[in-house]
Amino acid sequence: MEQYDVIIIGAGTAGLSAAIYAARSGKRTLVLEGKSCGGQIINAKAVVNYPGIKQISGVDFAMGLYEQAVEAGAKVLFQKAVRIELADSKKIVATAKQNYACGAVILAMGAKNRPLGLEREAELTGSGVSYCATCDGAFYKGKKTAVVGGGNTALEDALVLSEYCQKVTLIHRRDSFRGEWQTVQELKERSNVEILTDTVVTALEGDRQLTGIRVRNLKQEKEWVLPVHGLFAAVGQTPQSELVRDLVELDDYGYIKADESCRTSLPGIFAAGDCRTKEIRQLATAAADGVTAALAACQLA
Amino acid sequence: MEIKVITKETFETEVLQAKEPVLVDFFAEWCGPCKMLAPILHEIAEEKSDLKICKLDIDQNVDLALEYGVQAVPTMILFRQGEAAQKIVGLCSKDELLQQLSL
Ligand SMILES: Cc1cc2nc3c(=O)[nH]c(=O)nc-3n(C[C@H](O)[C@H](O)[C@H](O)COP(=O)(O)OP(=O)(O)OC[C@H]3O[C@@H](n4cnc5c(N)ncnc54)[C@H](O)[C@@H]3O)c2cc1C
Repeated sequence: MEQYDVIIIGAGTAGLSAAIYAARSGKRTLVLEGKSCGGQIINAKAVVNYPGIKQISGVDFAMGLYEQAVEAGAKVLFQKAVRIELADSKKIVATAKQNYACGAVILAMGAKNRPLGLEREAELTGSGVSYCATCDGAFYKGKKTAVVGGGNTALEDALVLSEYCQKVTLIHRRDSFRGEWQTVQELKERSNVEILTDTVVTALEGDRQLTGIRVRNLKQEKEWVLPVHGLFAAVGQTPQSELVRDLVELDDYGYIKADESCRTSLPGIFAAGDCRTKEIRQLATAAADGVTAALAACQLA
Repeated sequence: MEIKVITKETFETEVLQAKEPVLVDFFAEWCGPCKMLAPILHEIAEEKSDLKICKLDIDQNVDLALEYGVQAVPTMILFRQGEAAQKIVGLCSKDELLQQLSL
């Protein structure tokens, strides 16, 4: 079995930051990534709030981190971690292909967009249903789209789409928005934006491609079909913590509980970034967690 | 195997006349997802000695991109015996890529 000092699961901002520190501390460091490196931020067109960098695209930010981690000596493999086992003082991380042993594990699996929970949602994802307006919006130029959600992401998505879509319908289940008041005003002023409050989506229509959505007004108990080609879900996030559900303590929402040094309930296993219980989920806090977790892990491994 | 950068001049010999299957990554310099795909292709290239991987810049080779119906980047086309056998559009994980190409 291949041996490492530190294995990091997830090559997002937290995982790659941890990798830079662990590798630079001279530890044999492996990063396992199930999708592409970079995590959520590759979906951001521009990042303007990372301290020290005035403006950068999400992809360039992610690639910079990746290269920095690899140059520091970390090994990054595109394999999804499917199991973690404990063997004496060692931890074994399994992928579909291989098992890897190490002294310390850093969990940096991040979060993913919460699905709406509709029938055939997974099937139509990529064929009309999307979770990222910045990424997929351009496919719906000149078409009718809808956005579901009430926070800033939903408002921003509606704003972005209204720039080039024929019509954008913003759908929110409550009567007021959680997101910024100013953005709501801006949306109200746009002639191609329609806002439906107290409304939920109940079904997806269309065979292989989305053609419409069934919506219901909760106050008036009225239901109808809205013809749209694109439906953008922006209803929050859920942590990717299934891998360790039976291994470490999670909070009620599924986030991994960890202390100030990113230690989880199990010695030798650390959690960093969006997947752990915390107030602020941003790049800077993910990077900070990665550094903290790596240095704590290095003391053990 | 090393990933080769090809052009319209070398496409015929490198791809169409190749004995082994060739995966061509139609990319653009300005395309973010293309950059994210690069390390994944690199890892596949290191592991699969029976597959040739090439990169083709669509902006420098517009005719070829048009000929093979490339409308978005990244697009990957697997050529077998000079024929475009399979096409994948967009960024995907390594497992998805290998699965879809049945490699
Ligand atoms: C559209 C968008 C725009 C944003 N803009 C900003 C911004 O401008 N500024 C800012 O500070 N923050 C921004 N954020 C938030 C920021 O992206 C996150 O806080 C940050 O990405 C968290 O990093 P992370 O490493 O914890 O998790 P993630 O970025 O989610 O990375 C986790 C990684 O782990 C991988 N993974 C999961 N499970 C496994 C497994 N079992 N095996 C292997 N790999 C696995 C995932 O594939 C993923 O690559 C934005 C987020 C989004 C979605």
